[in-house]
Amino acid sequence: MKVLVVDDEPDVELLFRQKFRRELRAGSLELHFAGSGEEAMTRLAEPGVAEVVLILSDINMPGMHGLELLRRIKEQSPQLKVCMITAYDDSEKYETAMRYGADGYVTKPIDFERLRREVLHLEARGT
Amino acid sequence: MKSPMGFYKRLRISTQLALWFLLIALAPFACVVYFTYRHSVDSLYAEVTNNLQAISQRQADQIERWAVERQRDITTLARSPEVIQGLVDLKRNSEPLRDQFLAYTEHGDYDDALLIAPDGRVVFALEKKELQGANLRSPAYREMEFAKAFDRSATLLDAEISAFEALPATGQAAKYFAAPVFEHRRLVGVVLLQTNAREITRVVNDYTGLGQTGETVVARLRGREAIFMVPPRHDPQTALKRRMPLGGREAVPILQAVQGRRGAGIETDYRGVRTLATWRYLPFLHWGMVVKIDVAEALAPIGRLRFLFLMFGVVTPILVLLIALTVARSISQPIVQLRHAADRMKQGDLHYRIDLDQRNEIGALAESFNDMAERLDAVITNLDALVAARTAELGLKNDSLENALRQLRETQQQLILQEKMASLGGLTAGIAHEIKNPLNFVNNFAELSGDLTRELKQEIETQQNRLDAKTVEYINDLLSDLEVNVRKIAEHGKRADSIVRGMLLHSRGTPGERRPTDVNTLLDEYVNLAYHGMRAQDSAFNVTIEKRYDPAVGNIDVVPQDLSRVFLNIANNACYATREKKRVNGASYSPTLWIKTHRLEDRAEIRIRDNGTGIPREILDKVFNPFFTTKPTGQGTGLGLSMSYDIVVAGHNGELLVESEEGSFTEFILRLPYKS
Repeated sequence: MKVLVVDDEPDVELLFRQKFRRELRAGSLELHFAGSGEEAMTRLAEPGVAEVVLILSDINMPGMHGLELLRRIKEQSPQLKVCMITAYDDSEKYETAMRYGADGYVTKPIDFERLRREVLHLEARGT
Repeated sequence: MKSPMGFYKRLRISTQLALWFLLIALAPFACVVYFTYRHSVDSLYAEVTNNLQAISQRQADQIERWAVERQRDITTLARSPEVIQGLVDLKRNSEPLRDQFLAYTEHGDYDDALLIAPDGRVVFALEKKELQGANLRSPAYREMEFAKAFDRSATLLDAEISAFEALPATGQAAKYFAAPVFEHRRLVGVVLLQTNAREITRVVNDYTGLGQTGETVVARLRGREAIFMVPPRHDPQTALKRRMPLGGREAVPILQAVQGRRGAGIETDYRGVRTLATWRYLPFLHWGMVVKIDVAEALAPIGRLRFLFLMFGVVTPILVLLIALTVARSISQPIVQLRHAADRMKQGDLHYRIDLDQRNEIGALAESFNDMAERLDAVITNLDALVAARTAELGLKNDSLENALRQLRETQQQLILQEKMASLGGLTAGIAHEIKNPLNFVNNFAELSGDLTRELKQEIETQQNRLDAKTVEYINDLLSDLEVNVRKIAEHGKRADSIVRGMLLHSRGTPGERRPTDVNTLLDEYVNLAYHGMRAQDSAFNVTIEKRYDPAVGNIDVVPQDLSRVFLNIANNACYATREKKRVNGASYSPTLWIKTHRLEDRAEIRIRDNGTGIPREILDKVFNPFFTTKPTGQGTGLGLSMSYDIVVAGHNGELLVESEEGSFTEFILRLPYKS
């Protein structure tokens, strides 16, 4: 299962790679990273990334906004699962995300155990 | 203002009235007096004059009659045969002649009788024998009145009357009547009778009706002088002696009379006295006659009248003045009283009343005045009451204004606080978010590092057979330290995270949803939660909770999540305060919480009170400031009350107050409106 993580924090890649080290080693998970919404859109067009089934996106980013990214992705490829990860625990953003068709809404700090379960659940459903 | 009018206007009313009274009363009085006086004088004058004229007439008649009788006597005598014979037969026989003459002298008032021959020789003399044989034409007798009478009679051949003549011997007045005697138409002589002034004097000196000063004066003109014939009353010795020259200023009436004039009037007499006189001429005797009376006597009644009038003139004005003053006073007195009353009123005495026993206009005025005073009194009393009421109202308003001002100040402070907290809230939100991300990394990497350290430790254990024991021990020591370090990092990261979380709670982007909530239930639930939370931390902790919920409080539209946080926070603080105090005071202290709700008119009041450590006065106004805390580091963020304040005041439009006394109690008072 290929997952694209979009976050302007570069350390997110290090964190995710360590957090999902077992899954990565086992080869059940393949992580790709994008530092911005625009990059994510470009990366999604790349071969090897195109098979991504889940996108984990931050909301608050410079340039393209996470929610904007969600809207575009859902426009282009509604079958893609998008889960929003944000520090802002407010209902407005939550509701916007849901309206745009987000498949999950996770607040920071990320509860990786929960995230892992959700990812595994998606994988199980998707395959 | 020095005009008479100005002077008049300055007079008192009573004086003015008195003046008018005098004028009104005295003007007619003066007229009446004047005309009465004039009339009296005129009628008295007329009366006296009439009286004088009547007397004058009577006396004139008497005198003329006397003279006529005497003339008749002489005429008769001239025709008597004895007289004719006597003159014809000179000295023949005088006896019958004597008898004839004696008859006259005895019956009449004749003093003597003479027979005179035409040549002037005295043929016969009855009494004055010395004249017998004397010639009257001789110079010795020529100027004597009887010689003149003889002469005129003999010449004019008619009866003649001489003037009075004072006899040289006796000084007695004598008057002569002469008549010619004819025999056969031939003048044979003149008969002459001598008469005296007795009869005339009797007539003239009859003062009947002439009072004390009245008299009759008769005089005859001789040359340019008037000679008094009869002694006047006031000067008996002056008969035939007093002469008044014509044109003199005195004795005007007699001078008028002797000149043949007739009249009446007030004139000065021979004495120089003013008299009321009537004068006339007696042609038969060629006399002037004056009947007069002294003005002083004649007009004496006028004097009395004048005195009477004078008395009236003095007494009446005094009486009028007295009456006028009385009346004027009776009119002006009430006015003075009114003025006095007005003055009293001016000085503020509104209870003064005028007591007038009058039913006239002034009485009505006084009554009106009293009414006015009454009304004024009432109005002013009313006004006083009104002023008092207004003052009280003002006082109340003032109080309420002060209250309003205080509330305004409080509100202002709240607003300032809110503004401060709002900006602080914004700031903290920003800071929190900025910190939150790196903190997440710290926490996550700390966790990962912990995992890695544990993995490494397991790996070392499985590989220890291959390594030398000392190295293993050394590595294990290092790993233990590393593990501790990583745990510390995670621990402090979590602490920082909870601070940031608290900060973010403060600045939640959207408010929670309001819904009708049973505040009593919510309160009870969270107070209990706080209590149990405290018990979980410290099993020794215990507190008595006195609850008194007012069922009338019922449901209020609130955001329950927010409000529950407030209740929890305050109850937590209360428990904390009692726990702190217990730690110091020990067994003697029994921690208590009082939880009360109470329905006010339009809001619910919630009181959470503890008998804990209390809040020092100097920090009481800071307890709602964010990050202000008295708890030791790590036990409080200093955001609890700040957030509670925000929720109650900004979120629910309510009030959050605190009352406290250090070492005694702390009480938080929440008031939540039913309609926000």
